[in-house]
Amino acid sequence: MKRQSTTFWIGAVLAGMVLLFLLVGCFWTPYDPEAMNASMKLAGVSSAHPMGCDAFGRDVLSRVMDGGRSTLLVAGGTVLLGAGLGIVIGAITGYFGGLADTILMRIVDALLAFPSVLLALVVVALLGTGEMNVILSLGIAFAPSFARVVRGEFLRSRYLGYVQAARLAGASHFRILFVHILPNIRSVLISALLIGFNNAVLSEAALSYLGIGVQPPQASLGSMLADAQTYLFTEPLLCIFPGAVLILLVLGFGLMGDGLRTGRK
Amino acid sequence: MNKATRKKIAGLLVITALTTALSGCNGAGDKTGEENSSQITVGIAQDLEDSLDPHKAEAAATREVLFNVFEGLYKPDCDGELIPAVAEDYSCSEDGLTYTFTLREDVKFHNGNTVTAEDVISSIEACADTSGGTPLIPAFSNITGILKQDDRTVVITLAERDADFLSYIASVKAAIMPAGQTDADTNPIGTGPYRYVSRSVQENIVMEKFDEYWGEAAYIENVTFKVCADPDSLVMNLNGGAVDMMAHLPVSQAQQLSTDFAVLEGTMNLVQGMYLNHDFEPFADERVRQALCYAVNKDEILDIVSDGKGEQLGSSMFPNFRKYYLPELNETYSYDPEKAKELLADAGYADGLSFTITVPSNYPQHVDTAQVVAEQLKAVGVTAEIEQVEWNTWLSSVYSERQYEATVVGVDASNLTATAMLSRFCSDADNNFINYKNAEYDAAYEAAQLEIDDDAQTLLYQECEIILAEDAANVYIQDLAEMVALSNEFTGYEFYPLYVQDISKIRPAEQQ
Amino acid sequence: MKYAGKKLLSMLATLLGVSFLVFFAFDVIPGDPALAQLGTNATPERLEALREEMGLNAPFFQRYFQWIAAFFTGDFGTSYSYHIPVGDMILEKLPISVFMTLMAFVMVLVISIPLGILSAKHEGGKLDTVICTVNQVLMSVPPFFSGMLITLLFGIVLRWFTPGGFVSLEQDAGAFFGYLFFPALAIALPKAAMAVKMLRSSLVTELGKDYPRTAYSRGNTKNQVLRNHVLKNALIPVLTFFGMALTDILTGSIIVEQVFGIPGLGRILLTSIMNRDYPVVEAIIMFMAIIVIVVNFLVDLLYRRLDPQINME
Repeated sequence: MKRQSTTFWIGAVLAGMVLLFLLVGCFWTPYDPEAMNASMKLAGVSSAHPMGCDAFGRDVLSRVMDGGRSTLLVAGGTVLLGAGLGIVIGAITGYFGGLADTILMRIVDALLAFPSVLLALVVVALLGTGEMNVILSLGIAFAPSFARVVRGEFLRSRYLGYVQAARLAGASHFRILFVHILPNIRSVLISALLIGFNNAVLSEAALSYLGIGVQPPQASLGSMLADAQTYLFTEPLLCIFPGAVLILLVLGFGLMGDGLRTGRK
Repeated sequence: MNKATRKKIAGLLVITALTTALSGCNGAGDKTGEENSSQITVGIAQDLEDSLDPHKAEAAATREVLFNVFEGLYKPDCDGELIPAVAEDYSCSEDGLTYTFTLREDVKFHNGNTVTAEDVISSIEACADTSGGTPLIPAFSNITGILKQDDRTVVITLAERDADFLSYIASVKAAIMPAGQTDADTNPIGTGPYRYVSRSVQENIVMEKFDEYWGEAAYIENVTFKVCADPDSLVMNLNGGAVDMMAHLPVSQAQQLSTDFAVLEGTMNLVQGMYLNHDFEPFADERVRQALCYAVNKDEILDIVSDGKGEQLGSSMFPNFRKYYLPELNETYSYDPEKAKELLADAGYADGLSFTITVPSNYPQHVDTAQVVAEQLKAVGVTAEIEQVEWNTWLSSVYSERQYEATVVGVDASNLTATAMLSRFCSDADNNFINYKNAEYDAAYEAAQLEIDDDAQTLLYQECEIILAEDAANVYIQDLAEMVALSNEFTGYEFYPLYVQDISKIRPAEQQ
Repeated sequence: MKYAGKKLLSMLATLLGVSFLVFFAFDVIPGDPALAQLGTNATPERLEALREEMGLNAPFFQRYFQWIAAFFTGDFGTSYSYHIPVGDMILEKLPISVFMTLMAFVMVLVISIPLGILSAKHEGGKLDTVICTVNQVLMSVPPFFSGMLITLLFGIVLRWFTPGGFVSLEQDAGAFFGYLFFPALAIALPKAAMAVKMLRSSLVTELGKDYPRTAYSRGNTKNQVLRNHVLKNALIPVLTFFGMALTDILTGSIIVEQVFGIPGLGRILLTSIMNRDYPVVEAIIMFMAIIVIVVNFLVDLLYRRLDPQINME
């Protein structure tokens, strides 16, 4: 019992630290994250620039603090929207089955095959650019996989004892779906959310090339990672700092999720 | 653990180990295969997503590769001079309207047939064909007749004198192909030093040395153009030994190559600038455009984007066009933010100005430059937002429909004529994507076109460049540095003033 | 029989839906195939002539129905950019994507099932902690990052393979599979990590139920209980994930294809979208849709097979 909650607390401390770091970034950064300085191009780690400078001579620490915020917003929003849609579709199809299942799952299949790049281009064409539209197009693209996972879980759960018991006790379908079953499948959901978050960070960076997403010079962790890849051999630290923040954040949430599950058992 | 499970797990482990061992062998095998110097793998940043018919191919990236397979009657050499190819000589009449080409004897196509006057006529006719609206080579609408005088002589007559005619004849686009070939899109047959062997979509294009080539034979037997679409894994591909040569490398990547490579430095032969849409209200005002020119610090852009490499420009002409290039135009607007602020205030934008820079995302150099420009403009109170778009969106919204405010791109020349760089700025030009309208410019350009004397014509074209510079038609920035990585096993790379990779000059290093 | 017919019909409807959406998408986004062809050399006259030649001037629905009619008679059209038949193009690249997907999928199974069982068996023990931690880290590393690390380690440092040295199947089958091993690994790792996690939690849940206790009381060992009683039930929820992983790997390994320079279907799909080469895009998407539908159908079937309760309906 004690060990499991340790896992939770390690995760909480990690995630908390990263979040605090990003929160500070909303109000204060050591330098203007967009200010360039040709003489500091690719400057290494120093006391003035604890994470060094990027290829434009911009302070990496400031950019990580600033970029982490937009990443958290976009990737977080994407995962929430994707998971929200996915849970609703998955719950309905898995629990009720029948015609709703057939129709909705065919739509999900169609979406799974539909390339997200094309979807993003359509969103830009119809709605224009901006962070909200990234969340929209990625959220829609991510929903099918959540829907499939959730559907599988609901399909299995609906005949389990506690669900039958709740039904006999006269609970409404809505209550059974979201109050009884949903909390019981959270471990699977948390894993899916974490992987989804990671994918969203990278997808956001990829989408900014299409004209949607965070546009330069505004930083995001994904685009910083992508830019730093060019210098992987000569300046590996450029890759490591934004990568570490991302990994610590996801790891922190992951450990919290783990600890929460086993801790409550 | 019970027996059955153990057996299963052991089996799986063996499979994994086998696959690993297998791949280990292959890694080693690849390496020895590549030691053979009569084979070279050339990396290309994008596949030739195009027809392989040189008449129809439009992308510079396609022409660059097809240069090894095809030749026109004439072709450019690495100094930009036009040298005889399928023709051995030509003569031009006094009035400049009749060109007589003498064909070289016994030039062979890659299919073994000898080039005849009929092949030449059908090739030129295909490029001059007007059934598609404009001919494939627009300047060929000037041709009034193509005649076979005898088996080795072809006479082309023009409606109007055109001093650039030979340059068009020498472009890859005017390549000589077998008459009546129907599968040229996928089976290119030319007369060049290399013969097309095969292609695999998004993978590679394979060529081999053409043994019956009329001219100086190529050195290397087999050439594979390998598609390396991901710029970020390029350095690993080079250092890992999968690619022997790669052109158009950004400075940042060239710097990371191991000592197995020689890095050659040239320029890309294009005019990179922030092109301004003159129909966007603020940019109709000359003072605003000049202010932007004063506000941009080219030294800093070059320092940041390419470590100071590249050539700063001040007008629509690049240095390798030696005949027309005027280096002094770079100084038209030297960096002066104070002056920029004054001009903006004069123009009524004392409180600031904002616009969007649209950049094609597939060109990292342009995106980087746009970022630096936007940052520099902040200092004079101008807010420039960057919007990246993919290439085809750029083509349709910016280039074709002209729905944009400013864009950072590089404009290159498809052939060795001043027209290629300057014609687009005429008020009524189809490709005048900046909506530039200047009667003075139109007059100067028109005069240059009509001028017969070569020196006087050059002066008139230079006049056009001066007008563009002084009028601040665009914010001219630079001709980008171009890095070519060549494995130490090879030597002989030559830069061309055009978009060309001439593989036939490359030879194994020990044969020096 | 009736069931199969119904399934077939809904599959057909899905395909029609997807193909229509793709067609519609190309109508909405900026850029047109003729302009993509001509690039900066386009003039209004040439553009118009080429549009006419490519049949792009016909009304939307006419174009769609023409395409769909041709498609169902097996004529996939010709690539706008490459001028080669789309069918040949896809057929040539199919082995790459199929084998890479299968290799990655087998790796997911090979890694996740034994580790998941091991972890559940030693729940709370040292081994479990180690597996869970490694798992958590693997899940936190973005896929292209792991791709780069694998290339760096195995390609540059250990030289087990030549980065970017992809060889096609016809050229050298051994080298082909050898090269695909590492990208497949990069794809498989995060998926395997998630599968371990799901399998472990599912096994732990099942072990906590009544029936394993009954089995123990009959004198079965923990291994026997796991293998004979619990594993089958615990696999059911993970099955969805495996099915999804399979389709996900097939349709979504574009990043890894980029990093490793593999000319698979993902890359062709991406460049074709960029080039507005929609005969190619349509054909690849239809193909992927068919695979997705079939795999999901099989997963559903297996579900009904394995879980008698679902069959009660």
